[in-house]
Amino acid sequence: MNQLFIAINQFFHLLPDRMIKARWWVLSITMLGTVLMLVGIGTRFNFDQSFEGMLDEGDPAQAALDEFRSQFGSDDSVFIVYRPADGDVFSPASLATLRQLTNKIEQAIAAKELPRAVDIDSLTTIKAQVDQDGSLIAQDLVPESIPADTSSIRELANQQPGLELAYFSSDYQYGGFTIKTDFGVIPIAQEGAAISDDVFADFSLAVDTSAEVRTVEFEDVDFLSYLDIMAALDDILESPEYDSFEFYKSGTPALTADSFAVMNQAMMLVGLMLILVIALLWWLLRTASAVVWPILAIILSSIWAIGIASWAGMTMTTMITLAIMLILAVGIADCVHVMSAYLFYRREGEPHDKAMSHAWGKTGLAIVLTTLTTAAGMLALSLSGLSLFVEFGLLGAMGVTLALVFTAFVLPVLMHWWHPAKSVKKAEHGKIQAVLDNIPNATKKRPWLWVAGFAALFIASLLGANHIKIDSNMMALFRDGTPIKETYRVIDENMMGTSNMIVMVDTVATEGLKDPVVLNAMWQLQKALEANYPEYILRTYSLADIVRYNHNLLTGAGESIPADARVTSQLLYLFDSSDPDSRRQLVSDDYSRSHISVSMRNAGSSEYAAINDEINALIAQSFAPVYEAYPDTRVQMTGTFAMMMNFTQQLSDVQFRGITIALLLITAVMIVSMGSIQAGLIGIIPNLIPALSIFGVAGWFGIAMDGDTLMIVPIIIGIAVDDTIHFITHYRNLLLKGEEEEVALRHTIKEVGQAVTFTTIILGISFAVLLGSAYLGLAKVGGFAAMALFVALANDLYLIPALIRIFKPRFGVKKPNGVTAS
Amino acid sequence: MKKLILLSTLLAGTASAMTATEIMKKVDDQSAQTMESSFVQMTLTSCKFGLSNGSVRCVEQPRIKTLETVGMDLGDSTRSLMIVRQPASEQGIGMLSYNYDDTSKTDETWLYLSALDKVKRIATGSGSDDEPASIFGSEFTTEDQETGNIDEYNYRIVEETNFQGRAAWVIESIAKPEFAASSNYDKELLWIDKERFIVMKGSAFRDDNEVKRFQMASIEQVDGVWMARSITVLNLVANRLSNMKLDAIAPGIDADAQFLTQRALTDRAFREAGLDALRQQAEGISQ
Repeated sequence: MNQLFIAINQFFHLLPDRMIKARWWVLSITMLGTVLMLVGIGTRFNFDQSFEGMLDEGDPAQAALDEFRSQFGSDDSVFIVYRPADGDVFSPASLATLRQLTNKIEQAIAAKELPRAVDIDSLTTIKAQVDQDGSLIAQDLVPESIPADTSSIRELANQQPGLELAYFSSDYQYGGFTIKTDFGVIPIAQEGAAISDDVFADFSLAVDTSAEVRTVEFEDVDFLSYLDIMAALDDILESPEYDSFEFYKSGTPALTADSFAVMNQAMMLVGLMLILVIALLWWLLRTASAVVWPILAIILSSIWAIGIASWAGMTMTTMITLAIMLILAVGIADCVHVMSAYLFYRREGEPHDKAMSHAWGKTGLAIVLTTLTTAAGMLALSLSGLSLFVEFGLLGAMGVTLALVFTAFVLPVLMHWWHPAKSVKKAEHGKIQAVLDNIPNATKKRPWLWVAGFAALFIASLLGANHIKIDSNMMALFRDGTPIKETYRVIDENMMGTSNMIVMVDTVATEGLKDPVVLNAMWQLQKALEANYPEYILRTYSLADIVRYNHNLLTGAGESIPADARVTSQLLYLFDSSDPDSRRQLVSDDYSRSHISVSMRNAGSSEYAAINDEINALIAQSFAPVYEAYPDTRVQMTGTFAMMMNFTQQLSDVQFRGITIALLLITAVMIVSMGSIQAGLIGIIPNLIPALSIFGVAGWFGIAMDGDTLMIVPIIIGIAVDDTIHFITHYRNLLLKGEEEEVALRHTIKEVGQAVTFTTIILGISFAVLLGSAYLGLAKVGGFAAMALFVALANDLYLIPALIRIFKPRFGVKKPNGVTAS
Repeated sequence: MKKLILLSTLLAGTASAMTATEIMKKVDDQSAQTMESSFVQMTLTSCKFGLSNGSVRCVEQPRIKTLETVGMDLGDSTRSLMIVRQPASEQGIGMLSYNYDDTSKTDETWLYLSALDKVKRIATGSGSDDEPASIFGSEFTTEDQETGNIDEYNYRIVEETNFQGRAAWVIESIAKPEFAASSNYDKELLWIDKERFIVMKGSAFRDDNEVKRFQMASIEQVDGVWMARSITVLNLVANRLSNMKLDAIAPGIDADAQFLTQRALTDRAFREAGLDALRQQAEGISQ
């Protein structure tokens, strides 16, 4: 192993000179590649913040949702809640404004000015079914000429099934309208797969179950279309004629647009972070070229990583921000170590070229090892299969590897053109050095005390981690008062809620849904859900509501499901004839499949988890008679509720598995690179403490962990391990040179300790900037990361020296007398 | 022989000089003509389809509805009665419509649900009534069947071609902007028989994707008017097809206006007796 390490050191020693010789090639490839990557980002970047985007392709709730969409059409609508200034959605003025707005949106849809929008449903487009003097009249709920007294309209609206909470709040202060879209249901034109005229040559309606049903693929939703429709819609809603309405926009397109805005803000914070990093690097290195070029290398690494991901067709989420942070963090650490070494040699009086070779030779191995461990950890995460982790893992692994490539291969070329002048002033950092100078003595006197202190922290964190709550709640990630949070609050408190559960019912029998047994089961389940969970469930709606309503309308016998299958069948015939579009959204053409829509308030996945089993039991109980009549019946849950449940479950499983695999891989790399199991463990165990401290703090202070926050753990392990590798590699190199352990340790703390301290200060402060993000997912990440980085620093400076003093590992280096220490 | 050739050349000459709108007007007039004063027995079959040896086949048991309709032109109005014969659960459902030429008079429709023995007058309000609706839950929509709306579309001849051995125009039909909202399609292509002025094939598009394909078959001349006795629509997105087959069509029947009243809905014996009489008439003239 030592031979290999020596060879790597030698390779890096010669690398700057070789790269400078091939500088035009290096520069051309870098520039061309960067242009290609920018084109990829510009044309192929895809962003999806929806739950579906985060779930596994094979997730049952996702599969059920796909089935739902292919059967019942797109559910990707924009739901807009409005609050008229006069506080009454049924006032003549409000109805007139709504009609005008509806007309304007209809015109925009017809003129294709609202991309992907296909229809609008509002109070002014609704047909009300009324029984007037024996006539069944389907009339406009809001008549062409709006009367001065609109109380009859309000009364009629209240009588219609499914309107309350979807179109108006119970106190009439809020109204709602839905803009339906064709997101996710646009078929892809398949070249060569078009139906030829010959298919009719031998036309017959004979049944052939072996006939091949053409696969219809649907276009992926381009997130830019979400932004486009929302921008076009904003143009309309912000017109002065609608000033009397206050709007709250929800639905996936609105959520995506808001998330994108938040991501842009996060990107600005990352920009701020970068400026801070530059300032701190300047404070540390005091030479412009040694700051500018490494930062450029890190930026290029990020561009290339995102570019490659875009070209590869990867869909990205807000996780991209975290991946960039990881690249930044690892890149900065590499940069500080390399530049510190370079400047050290320049100060010693070496010319530029020689200083480069020495610096690369001295730090190259450590950088390779840190890149290897971090990339291995990231790849382990991507193996988990959960798309969110795959995205983060692959981007992270690619990014840190690219950071190594740019630092090792491109940086020498850049530094060749512009590098520090002959005299390089040493930056004075007296206070930091004084603290560092004190460490060897402090850890020498009572090493066990330090170990005990950190062990106590370890145990406290472990105990805290026991109380940790893993909870996915989109809204908990936004600060109070942000528009998106306000929208969710208004819709949850006044309208039909921002979350939903879809109970898919498939009787696998043609006309099954016309059977009163099935309709009754659906109605029983709806009643039970509404009665048992009023705090979560706001409204349920199904075919059973239609049958009950029409039954009363035609017979006046009250809302009930008739026992005679012929009657239910004909009531549904009436529904089909009067409103075929609504019918198609509720039940399949052959009446074998339907669904119950359950509108819910937004809540955390842990709250949902508490009622999940009960709801499943209710489904089983309500559908027991159906299973008897139709044994093949399948009842499945999908929608936000089910997806959130599954996502959180997957998140916990995968996170645990991912971190475990990452740790095992990193440990393996450490053991191999450190030369012994004991040395490897000394390298890895201290690095568990920073990550564990995050869980500890979250557990003790009741801070819920979600997808974003959990992702910080591997980042922290990655950074912490990097610093330890630099520390131990330096110590080991000194041992290899024959230095005494005490001297080597003091020297390492002084030299690497300073670089590690600087890295921590730079990254810690930069991460803390994120605390200002409106997106709490990012703010929490920033706070936890800053805290964990300082814990990691304390580990490197106090715990590792204490452990080295106690266990005296030689990291595979033989003692001068030929005996290899433990 | 020479005369015949000359005649067809003259006809062809006339035809090629027609504009797309004129062609469509002629097609539309012809199709409107077929439904006046007639007795029709039709079967509407719907199923999910697949391809077997390159031919369309149902992959599941199709849903079959059989219907009988009677239409009458009373001069100032038309009346129609539709009775569902199949499936059993819907048997006896009836719909009676009075459509008045006088636009100031509201059209009237009565629906009879046999299982409830209730007749209800169905009136529609104003507004978006013109949105395309499915016909009896099939893949056909009212937009696919409508006549008399030539003014709502812009037409252009895309090409002159030969379709299934017959000279044809391919005409593109796009709803005018003010009517676009009430159309399900962005564009339709129609293959029109140059000689018989009947649609032989249609393709409906949304976002440049073909979403529906119409195919006419059994094109026959009934009472001097060319008509397709079998029309199939393939919904290429849902993979579902519907076939409308005119089992019997008897134009120019002699129906009593008194038969086309609410009594025909509620009084089963009265209805069946009236329909029997029409069936017998139809047997004589049905083609």
